[in-house]
Amino acid sequence: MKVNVEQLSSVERLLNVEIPANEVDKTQENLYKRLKKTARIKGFRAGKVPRSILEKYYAPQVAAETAESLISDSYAKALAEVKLEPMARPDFDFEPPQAGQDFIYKVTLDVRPEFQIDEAKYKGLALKEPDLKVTDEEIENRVKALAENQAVLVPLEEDRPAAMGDVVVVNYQSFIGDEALEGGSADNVEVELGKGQVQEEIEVALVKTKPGDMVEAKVQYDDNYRDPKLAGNLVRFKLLVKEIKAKKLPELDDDFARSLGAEFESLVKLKERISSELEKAYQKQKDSALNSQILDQIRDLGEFDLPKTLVRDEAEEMAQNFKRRLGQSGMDPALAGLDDAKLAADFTPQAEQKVRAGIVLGQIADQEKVEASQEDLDAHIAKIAEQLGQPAAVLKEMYTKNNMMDALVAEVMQEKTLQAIRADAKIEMVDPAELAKETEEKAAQRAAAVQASRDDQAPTAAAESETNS
Amino acid sequence: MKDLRQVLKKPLITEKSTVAKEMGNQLVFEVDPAANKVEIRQAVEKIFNVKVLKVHTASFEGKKKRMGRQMGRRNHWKKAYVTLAPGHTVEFFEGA
Repeated sequence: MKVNVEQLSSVERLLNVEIPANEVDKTQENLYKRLKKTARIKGFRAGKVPRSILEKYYAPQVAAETAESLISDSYAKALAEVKLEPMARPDFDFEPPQAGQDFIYKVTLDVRPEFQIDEAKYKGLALKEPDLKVTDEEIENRVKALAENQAVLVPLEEDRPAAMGDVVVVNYQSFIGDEALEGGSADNVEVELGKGQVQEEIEVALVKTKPGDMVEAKVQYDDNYRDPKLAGNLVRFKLLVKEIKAKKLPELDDDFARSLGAEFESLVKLKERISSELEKAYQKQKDSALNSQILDQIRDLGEFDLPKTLVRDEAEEMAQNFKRRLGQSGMDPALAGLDDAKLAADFTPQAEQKVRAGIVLGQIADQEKVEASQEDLDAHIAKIAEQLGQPAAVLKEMYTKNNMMDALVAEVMQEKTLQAIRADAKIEMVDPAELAKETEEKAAQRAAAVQASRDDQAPTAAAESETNS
Repeated sequence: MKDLRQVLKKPLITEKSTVAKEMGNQLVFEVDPAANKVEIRQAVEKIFNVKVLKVHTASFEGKKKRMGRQMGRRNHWKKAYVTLAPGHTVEFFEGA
């Protein structure tokens, strides 16, 4: 096997692999031997078809299989020989192999750009961590919300008018001027006061009413209210109060805890569970806030060309994900007039940023000698398993079977690198609300910058499309 | 048989015919049942541009077949083993 490398650009390599004729013949021979056992051709018993006849029927297929088998056998070896690690799926190019001739194939692949990052630039980053702590008050609120869900409506026992927090059962009719609105009336509607379920004017009118009362409320709708029939109109509601019900919350005791699930033996246990869930959610928020800050700060360390195929793959994946989300939210991507190529192009700047951050991170991992050990991998799998609610062993087998271990290793590496960076960073606790505002501003700035760069790149195209339309 | 092109119906490529070609330089055809050996020789020589040494023929009765209550039969047919003179081959019958 002869391998030579051509440097197309700082991140692109052209690999030329030559496989000697005798190996081509051997592979082809083996394929024909296997084929002979299974091929069924009229006039011949199974397994008795002579080679010459087989060749007549199956030559193109065998040639393709030979190429595949030769490439899969030699590609990894060739990469090892020239010490290259491709970053994205490589492009193969070859002519079908012929018996008695050397087989040559070309591979275009992207490699990681070579550059060094000054240690000082990623050590001691200034990061802001949102100061999120689980408070007793929050836990109480959660418990109350749970109680609210379990609340039952009971008719009012004492004789008193409706107050905020009560549920009023009404029949209503609505009018614009003197004209009754079509579909603007209903019977036995339950309205909970003080929850903003209905317009404020109606709530105000219903407070202090008693069963049998007839009240009127006038509501002025905005010009851009979502229902065009109502928008901009003064609507008169006639409301007949039929019944007033009070919301009865369950007692916050151990019984209440048990009613939520057998695993909560007591109210204390329930609170503990809520506390730990909140803790987890906050930790996640903190992590993602810190990580995105790190990525923001390291992204522009190091000058290098971006591997094109990697950006392309990433953009395509983002576009696919976007489409899937659209589909899940009930929209038909085809109807929305989205075409794949355009969508991918739209995601390209985003993909470039992600790829850039990933490469810098990889470089830092190299320089810091971050490695993913088997234990790290197992821990990561265990974590995913918990999220999916599947046994870790099953998951591990699935990953191994589907060749997804590499992706997993990459994830673990990233995670560990981020942790290493964080360990060296100066972390400052800040108010979560403030941080949220700051990130929002930054995101807006970045979006504007991306937009500006795109406008720069394609001023002529934009002008053209304008003249065309 | 007036037209030589109607003599040979199709080549027969089977295990037996492959052996016949390899061992005795013979080609095997299904031929028109009305064709005689002379016509078969002329047809092969003319169409493939080779020299024919000898021709053997064999006639077969079509198999009896039944479709429900109707009896029927497949066509009678004739097979010809055509031996070529040494050194003569036909490209079509050689392997790929």
